[in-house]
Amino acid sequence: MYEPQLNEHGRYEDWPLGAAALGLMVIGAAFIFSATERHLSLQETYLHQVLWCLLGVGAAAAACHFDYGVLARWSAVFYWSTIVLLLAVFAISAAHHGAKRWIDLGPFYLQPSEFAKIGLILWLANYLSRPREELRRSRVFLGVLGYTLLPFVLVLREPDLGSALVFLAISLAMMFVAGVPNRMLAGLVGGVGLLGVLAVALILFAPPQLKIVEPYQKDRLLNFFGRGKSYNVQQALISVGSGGLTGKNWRQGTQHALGFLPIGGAHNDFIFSVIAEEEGFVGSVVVLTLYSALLFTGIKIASQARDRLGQLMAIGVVTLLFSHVFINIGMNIRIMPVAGIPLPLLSYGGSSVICSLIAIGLLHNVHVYRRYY
Amino acid sequence: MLVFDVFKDEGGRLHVITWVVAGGMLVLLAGLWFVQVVFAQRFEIDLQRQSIRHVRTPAIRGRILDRNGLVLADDKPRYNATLYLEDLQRQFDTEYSSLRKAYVQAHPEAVKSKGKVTLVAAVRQQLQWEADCAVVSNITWLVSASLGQPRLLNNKVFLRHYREHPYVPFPIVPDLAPKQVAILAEQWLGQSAVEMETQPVRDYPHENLAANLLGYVQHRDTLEGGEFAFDMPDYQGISGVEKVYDDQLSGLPGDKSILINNLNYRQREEIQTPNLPGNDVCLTIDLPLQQAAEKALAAAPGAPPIVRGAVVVMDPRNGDILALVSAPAFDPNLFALEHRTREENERLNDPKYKPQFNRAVSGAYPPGSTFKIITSVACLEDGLDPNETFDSPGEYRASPTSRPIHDTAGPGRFNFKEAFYRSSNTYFIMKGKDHLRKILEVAKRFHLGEKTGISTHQEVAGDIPGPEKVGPSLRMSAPDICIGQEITATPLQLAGMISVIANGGTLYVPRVASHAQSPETGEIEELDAPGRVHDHVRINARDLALIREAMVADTEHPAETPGPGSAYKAFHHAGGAPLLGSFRVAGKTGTAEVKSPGSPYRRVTWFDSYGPCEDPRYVVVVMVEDGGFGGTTCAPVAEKIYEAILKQEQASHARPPALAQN
Repeated sequence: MYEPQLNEHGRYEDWPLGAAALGLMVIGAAFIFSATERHLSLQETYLHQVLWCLLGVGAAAAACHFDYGVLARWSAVFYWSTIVLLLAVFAISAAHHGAKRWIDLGPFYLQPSEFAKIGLILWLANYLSRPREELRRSRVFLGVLGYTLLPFVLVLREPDLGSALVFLAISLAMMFVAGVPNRMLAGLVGGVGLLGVLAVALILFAPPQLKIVEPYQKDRLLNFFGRGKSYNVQQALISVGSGGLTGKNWRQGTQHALGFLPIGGAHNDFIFSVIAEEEGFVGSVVVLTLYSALLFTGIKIASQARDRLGQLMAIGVVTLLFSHVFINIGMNIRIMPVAGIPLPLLSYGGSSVICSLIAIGLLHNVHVYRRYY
Repeated sequence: MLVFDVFKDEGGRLHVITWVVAGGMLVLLAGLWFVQVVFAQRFEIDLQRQSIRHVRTPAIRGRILDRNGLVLADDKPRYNATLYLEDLQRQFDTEYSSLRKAYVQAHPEAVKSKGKVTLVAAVRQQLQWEADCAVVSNITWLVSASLGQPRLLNNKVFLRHYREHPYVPFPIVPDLAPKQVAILAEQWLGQSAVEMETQPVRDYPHENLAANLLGYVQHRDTLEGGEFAFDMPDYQGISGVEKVYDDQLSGLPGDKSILINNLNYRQREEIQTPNLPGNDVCLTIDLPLQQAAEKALAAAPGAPPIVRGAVVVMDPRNGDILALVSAPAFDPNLFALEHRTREENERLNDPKYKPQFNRAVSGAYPPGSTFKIITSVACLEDGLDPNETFDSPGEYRASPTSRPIHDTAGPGRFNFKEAFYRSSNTYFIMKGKDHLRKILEVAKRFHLGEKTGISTHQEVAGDIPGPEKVGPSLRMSAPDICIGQEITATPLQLAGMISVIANGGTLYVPRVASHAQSPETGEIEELDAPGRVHDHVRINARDLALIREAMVADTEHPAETPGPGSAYKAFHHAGGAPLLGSFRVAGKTGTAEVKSPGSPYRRVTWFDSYGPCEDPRYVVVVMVEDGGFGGTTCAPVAEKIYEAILKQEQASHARPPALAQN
């Protein structure tokens, strides 16, 4: 699987990657339809999703077209543009459920944090693909830390804890693969862990007057630690569990139809609940298999990349997709907190779909341009 | 398996990434396996608990029919106007917004910075309830006013219904008249949340008829905390046939599952188990005969204006009860309603008339002179010479100073037959008082003072001491017992006694319910077996013939010496022509004085009879509390009943109704 195919006559495209992505997009549209067909105001959602998919495939093709080496040269521009967008969220934003995560662009809402993840991957890949010796320097290490914390803090303030954590995961994985010394990483992990524990303690036990976090975030955390009771998670769990082995068949799920799953959430953050209820464990395995195909192809591409830039880019993308999948599905079966982050290609949402496809486009880019190695 | 390019993967770090990703995916897979396969059952139960409500749907109660299939109790539809609350959600929301706006204007402190309004949960809840009540109250008023029956909503009742069962339609106007049904259909149905619901109501088309036998039903108490979230009201038999055959009549309730959404509103319904209608119960009662008996009893001459009494009409060939009357009766329709007026309740429980008391089987009365039949059997068996005459002084004194027992027959010279049809107390006391043990033994042989075993229960045994009880104190009562005082029996028991005389020695268990029939399949289930023999009563043929002859003389002996039969007048025109033509009736009158201070009546009058005397097919026992005399009050009632029987037999070409069934 990881054996390098270095001959120049190797296949140009990586078909499993495309097939898995296409499969996920089709499943996504189908179950968005199922989850929204009963709600008049949402009935065209699946068509919008198809549109986003088409736009996303175009964006992926664009991301694939130029050698990633060329893209890397523009990475600073991408990175800083997304930072500007993240800042813009605070100025001109549309609040949903108490969070400011979207910029109203008229026909649609833009979610800059999704784009910021791509920006970070590109920029860190560029930044870390320097001689190994330099990676041992603490200045470089601190630089990476700074570039990560900037979007991290901005997204955390939206507030969007789930997405913020994805930035940390991406950065950590890329530093690790790039070859940042273990002791630095251990320090980083330890520090982040310590800070995390402190933050959790502060959130849970601080007097509410201080308003360190929003009450709903506290609830989510409480829920994660088994102390609170989140209605949505409970309902998601009932959806997934009642699907059983083979499910109730497409459009036959009752949890979303009867409104037990949040009407605004069934087709995005909780789309997995819908799939799992209607298609059962079998459906869950299909979804996990498709994601595994994406992820392991991504790792294979990383291992075959012609240089560390490509490898890091691929690993960034793999980490991005993996952390989304793990957090979202984990949330549905209560092993992760309610983080409100989308499931790549399945959840409804233009920014999410387009960014996921751009990410896959980058992956493919690394695959395609390996032959110039 | 995993062969990495060593040049690019220094320190095997891609390896680590691979393992982390693979581990993560496996964790998800395992988690999903647990949730979706191992614990799937539990979540399926949770899902059903939150989204499915089981509602019990009562079955249609079976009818009660007479022996020829005429309806005695039935179900009639009742129409109620109801509201489907799920269809009102939008109106609730609109009303809530306007109430909220008004509240915020009145309470500026609720407005926080940047114009954001935050309400306390309690206030929000309160406003929500007010909004819901306002909407429903408004519709209730509009609908009920358009039906010409304006009603105000009881907010408490509504809120309770709304909180507990919002998925069940809320009734707003019950019991619509046909005209109101038409108005509702025209103005409201199909365009609003208003619907019409049909509810079966127990109906007794003949009202008071045989009410004490049929009994009544009441709404079953709702089962709290049972497997059903909501119980639609259904009936439970409380007394009489309705109670005893409740299992047959009530059928099996069904189970309707209602799928509800997260707001507890109904999404759709599914019938899990259809209800199984109750079986029809066919009685041995003959409706026209019952009606005739009730009419005749109500018009008993010489009785108080509201007659208190009982009639039993029985087929002596098999024990079938053809009519069972207890007067006054009640209207069982009153019990089928959810609410009764105070006046209606008082009427049902009147302490003087006791309309719920079934006098024919629950009333133990001194049989009076009708008991002389028993005394006769005892004396004849102990060697009384029926032809021997006896000079009666016209009264009996146990000792020269003691209280006399009067004798309506007056003084005279009587043989057995004459003493019987004149009903001479003195004769029977003098002949019988030394045969007390024998008399009580014969009474026991006839099973007087014992329950007859009629299936509708309710009955009492009465009080006739067994022969083993004879002792000095009981001997003191011997003169009274000879003429049926100081002992009690029920009219039904006396009907059994007369049947034994009529059929020559068989005591049947009285039967009121013959069979149950499924309205769907027509399948028939026997309830009480026909002609069930309780006992064979030993009585020798000579004595039987003598008593029968004397009983016929009671209705037929004209006014020659020593005087007419005690029921002669009741069965003959003033000119002497028999009222019933060739239909000859044998009978015995009775009048018992009741001296005990607690008794609601001072006197009990009787006429126990069978007919026609050549081929007895009917036993008619009439009892009236506080009547005049047996011959003047009860015998005319019996005569009227025989008239009805005669008319009925002639109409059906002399085919006895008892045979018509088989």
